[in-house]
Amino acid sequence: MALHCLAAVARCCRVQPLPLSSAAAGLPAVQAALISGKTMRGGPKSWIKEPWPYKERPYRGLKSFFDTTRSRWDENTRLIVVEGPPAAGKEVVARALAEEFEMQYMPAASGDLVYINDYGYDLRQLNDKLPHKLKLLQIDDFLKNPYDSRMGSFQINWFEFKLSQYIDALAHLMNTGQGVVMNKCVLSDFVYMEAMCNAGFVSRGVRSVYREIAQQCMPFLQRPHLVVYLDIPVAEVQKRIKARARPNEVGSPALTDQFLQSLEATYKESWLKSISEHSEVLTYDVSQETIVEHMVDDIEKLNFEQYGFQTDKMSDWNRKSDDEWDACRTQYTNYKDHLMHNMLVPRFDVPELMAEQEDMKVFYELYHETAPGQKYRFGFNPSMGDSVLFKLGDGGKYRDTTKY
Amino acid sequence: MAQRVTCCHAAAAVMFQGGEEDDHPYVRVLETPAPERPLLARYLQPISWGGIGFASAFVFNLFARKPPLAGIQRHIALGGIGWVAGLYINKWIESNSAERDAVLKHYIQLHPEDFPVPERKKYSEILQPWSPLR
Repeated sequence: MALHCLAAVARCCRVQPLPLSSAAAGLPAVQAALISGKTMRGGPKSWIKEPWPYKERPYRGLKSFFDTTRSRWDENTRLIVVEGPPAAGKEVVARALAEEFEMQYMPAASGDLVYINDYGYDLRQLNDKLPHKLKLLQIDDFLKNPYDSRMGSFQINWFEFKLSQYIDALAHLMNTGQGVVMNKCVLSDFVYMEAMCNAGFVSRGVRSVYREIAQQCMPFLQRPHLVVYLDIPVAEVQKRIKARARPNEVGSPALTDQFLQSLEATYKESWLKSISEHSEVLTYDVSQETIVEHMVDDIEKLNFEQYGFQTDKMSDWNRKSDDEWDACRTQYTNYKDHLMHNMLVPRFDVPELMAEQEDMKVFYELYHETAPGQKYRFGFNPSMGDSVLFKLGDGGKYRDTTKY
Repeated sequence: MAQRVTCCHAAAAVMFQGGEEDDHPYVRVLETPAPERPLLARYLQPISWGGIGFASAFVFNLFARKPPLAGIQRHIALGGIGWVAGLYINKWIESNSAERDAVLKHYIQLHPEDFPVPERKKYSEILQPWSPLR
């Protein structure tokens, strides 16, 4: 179904010379080296191969005979996720790690990323004309009124964006060989839904639908190599929120102690426990100070290839042959919509998530027909000045982190 | 009866051999040359299949979220492929019909006693005498 590409035609595996440690563990050919940072190395890293221009050229079919996925991978081709409660300093840490290890940084979900289309038109301008239930919401709306009945669909839309972004991160990693550092990812998004439900912001029906969607989408995603969890107590979180004084966060009815405690509890008891079965988890207490150099030192000591087939650790990354990696890469690069369609769960029992027919018609007309650049795919909108008569192909920019 | 049928099929491939059996009036009538058919009838298959190919490009663009006439090369190419496919389909249909007609004509020739030419009567021989008196 969604992973039709993994039922690949039988081709013989390409054999590469094995480093000694991998051969001892019986693992396929992967370089056994540790992440190296700029400071320790003393200079910028050298790349094995030119990155595949996956944003312009598709990767599928016979190209896998000419371009192996793992030919671009080196010790820094890792997926790192930085997690933590609000105001923990995730962005600072993630950016610093990305710069140190020369990896790509992927920002957290924000209204700008979600709602500005490929032509630069901000879709939030349509909010005045959209019906109430279908307005385009952002985190600010959650902070202003968390008990709004639209919070359920807002959270699911945010999940959709995060899923899209995670798939893009994996596609980037596989096509270019450059690692990715993410600021919060889709795999931990459920902690927010749990906290919101426990605090009474959304109903249990919404949470049930969300759980079903997450359950459908998760099996197709590679879990990260490393999770860096920034731990601060709830009191410290509240202090920092007051200190940085973002206009919507201070005095918000959403960021109660109970909500933040529930968030922390779910993070630690549920998310970190389950993800530590696969990924390396580094937890840092950053309530006093955040020293990124210590984190870099710890990360540089991690050996991701030491695990064999007896454990689940790194099992998403060490068990595939070359052909399976090529198929995986094809899936994430070109058939992203198949993965996004896993979200289409037939749950019609939660009224907050359903919209009226008349409202949907208004929404469709505004969002998909009349808004500039929305009617057709990028590169094919005559109203935006694209000349279209002789144009074949994908339009030259067939993916970005907000649309699918 | 059964023997006749098998005989007919076996002889289907046999074309005109010459001789008296060829000259049945029915066959003579069936073999008169047909008038030139209108263009639409002659080119129905190429036009239809070319039209289907052309229209399929619109469907393709619809599913790909593109304007209907984007990539006109695709419309032309699919229309061309449909046109050629129509020509070959037409040829196949015509050859099937021709084979069937040849089989039937040969059957008529082989069994002329089953296809008697009906006696033509004039109305003068059928109508009874009548005087217009009421």
